[in-house]
Amino acid sequence: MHKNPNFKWLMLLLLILLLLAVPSYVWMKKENNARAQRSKSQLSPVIMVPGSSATTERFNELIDLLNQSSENHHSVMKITVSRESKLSYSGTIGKNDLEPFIIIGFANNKDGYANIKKQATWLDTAFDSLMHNYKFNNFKAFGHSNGGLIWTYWLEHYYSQYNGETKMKRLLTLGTPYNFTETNTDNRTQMLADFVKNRSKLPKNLRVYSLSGGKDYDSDGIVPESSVAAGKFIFQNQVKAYTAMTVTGKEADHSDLPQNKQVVQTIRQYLLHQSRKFENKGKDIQK
Amino acid sequence: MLDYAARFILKIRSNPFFRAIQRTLVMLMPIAVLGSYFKLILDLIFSPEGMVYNIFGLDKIIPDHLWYAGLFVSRGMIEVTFGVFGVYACFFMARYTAHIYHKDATLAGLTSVIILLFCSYGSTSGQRSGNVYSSGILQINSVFISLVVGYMVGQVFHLLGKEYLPVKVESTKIIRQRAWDALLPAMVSLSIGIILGIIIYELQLKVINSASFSEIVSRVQTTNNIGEVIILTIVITFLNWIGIGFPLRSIGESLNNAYTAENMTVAFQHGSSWNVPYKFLGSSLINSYGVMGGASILLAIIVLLLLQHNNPEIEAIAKVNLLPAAFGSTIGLAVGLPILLDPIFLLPSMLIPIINILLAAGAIYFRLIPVCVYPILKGTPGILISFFGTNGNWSALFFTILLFILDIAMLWPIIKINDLVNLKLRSKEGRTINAQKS
Repeated sequence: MHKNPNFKWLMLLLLILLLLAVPSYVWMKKENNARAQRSKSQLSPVIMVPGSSATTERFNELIDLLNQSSENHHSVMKITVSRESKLSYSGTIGKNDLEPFIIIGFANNKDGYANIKKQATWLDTAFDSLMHNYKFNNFKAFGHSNGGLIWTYWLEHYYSQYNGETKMKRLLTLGTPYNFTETNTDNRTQMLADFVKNRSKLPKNLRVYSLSGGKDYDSDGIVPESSVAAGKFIFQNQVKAYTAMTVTGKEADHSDLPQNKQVVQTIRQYLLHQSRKFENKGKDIQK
Repeated sequence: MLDYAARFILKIRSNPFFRAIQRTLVMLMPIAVLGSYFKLILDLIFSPEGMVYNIFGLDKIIPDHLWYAGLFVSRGMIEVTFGVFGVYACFFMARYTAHIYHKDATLAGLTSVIILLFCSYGSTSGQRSGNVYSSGILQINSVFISLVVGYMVGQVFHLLGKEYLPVKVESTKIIRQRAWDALLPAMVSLSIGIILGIIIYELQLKVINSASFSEIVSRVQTTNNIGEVIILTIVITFLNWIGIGFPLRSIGESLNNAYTAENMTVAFQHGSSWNVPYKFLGSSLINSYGVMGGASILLAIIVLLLLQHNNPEIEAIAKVNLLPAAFGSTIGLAVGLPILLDPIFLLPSMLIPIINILLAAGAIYFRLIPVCVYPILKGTPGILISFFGTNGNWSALFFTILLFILDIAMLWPIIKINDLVNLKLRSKEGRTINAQKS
């Protein structure tokens, strides 16, 4: 049998594969062990919580708007927490997406302080599961209406258990009624009083942005501007920075706020990561 | 039997559509191979998840600016080869189609490029960041569309164009005559193209990109039902064969969802992946065993061609593609041989992954091999995906190698038939050329 000269090419390939496989094997074993700490350290999700009576579908329009004009397409994962704290997931976090949107909604999405406490517990169940599956060391939070109250309650009561594991970098609340529908800030509701009482538990390095809608001179149609403004009693001089903004013009209604163009712009500017060096590294051509 | 099959395939391949496709793809082989090598470099070295990048800790070795320069070059070269592959494909497709009917081929090619770019503009002009060249239509992963556009223009030239025979020296007068002769077919095809573009624009069809197939992709990523996996495999491998590679590509890429996360959590807790909740996840089965990162068909064909050692031209293509194909960058061979849209490779492209998946699912069911759940680096050689995906399980590696040998054995008769077809085709073409000469 005469020798096939192609054997040398196949042998060469085999050699290359073996030479690569050995260090790969060592690396893989080490990597899989250390994965818990290392992996996903660049991941910085934006976790969104809708307000009362709204589901995880509440932000679809907002997300479309945010994705429309950004180079990086944010993938979306939705988690609904049932009354029994069972989680149901939908959507996928893209492998190369360092800033996915995660929306956490609740089967019981009713209004009221008692429900907000419950919803904060459910939020924590979902958050704990996220921490387990995706090892992000920081994240951004967004809450529309009561969603902002749920985040605030969660920050004061649950956040500390993740100390050292992850941190909330920024919180943006939109039309959040820190004093419910009370127009006079001298009349503090039980909730606002509790928030103010526990404010020392808020993280020192957090930046908070509170947006309100101005349909007329004193409310967004539902939430009084003074109730949104009451957020200053909780955050001001407590967190690193507290910024309050009022959006007026078209679509400044309470329920239109999430798809208001100025709001979208503000979210993009203050909440989302601005294109920087490492983001380019993570972005890959999908071919 | 082989002879019968060869005659049947020959009949299909004699159809002008397939004839023009064969010529187009063979012509574009160098571009596809070039792209494959840059893809290989990008995947291995210039991706944060790249195999070589991670294993050798290039993060610390290569200075940042050098790394970005490499990223820029490899990405840029992929853009101009794979990213706008459709432009080249539709040009040559229209050209060769018109050529078959002895019409003015070059102007047909140009007309089809205009139409394709217009459709591409139509599909991106609604987006703010959109530009003509970023469209999915132009990418190699949707080359089928550009081939159809090219064929359509070629046919319009066939029906309306004037007879044209190439001459060696062209005077301005002849060229002017050519341009006038091409006016009618060019206008007619452009009108069709404009209507097509309007439809695309009005419906805001992104025509083709990963999102268009997100339904298939998300199904395959989340299904744990082996029957559904098989059906989806048929769909995805068929699309890949006709030249719509998006669904297959995205399976290899985005593997991070609630299901894989749960699998991974369990695997990390128990230190192995034997008892994960989702054992038959579609994406994992297809990528690790079905297409084996491109190894089960493309690399197997290369190995066969090299072992067979009887056709120097084909062997050269196989040799050039050996390295990229081994690391999962297989488009060079798929275009160069070609495998895309070659009727003979349709059945094997669909059946072999299914056989692999069924065998792997059986082996997982009988606990011969664990489940692939651990993360895989980019550019991991196809044969090693299951090994690394199981955190280095030796029986998984052994099983995959056996599977690979089986795939080679199954492809053996196919390559034989292909040789026969090529032989017959050559003698037939020889006869036509002789007939033309006399």
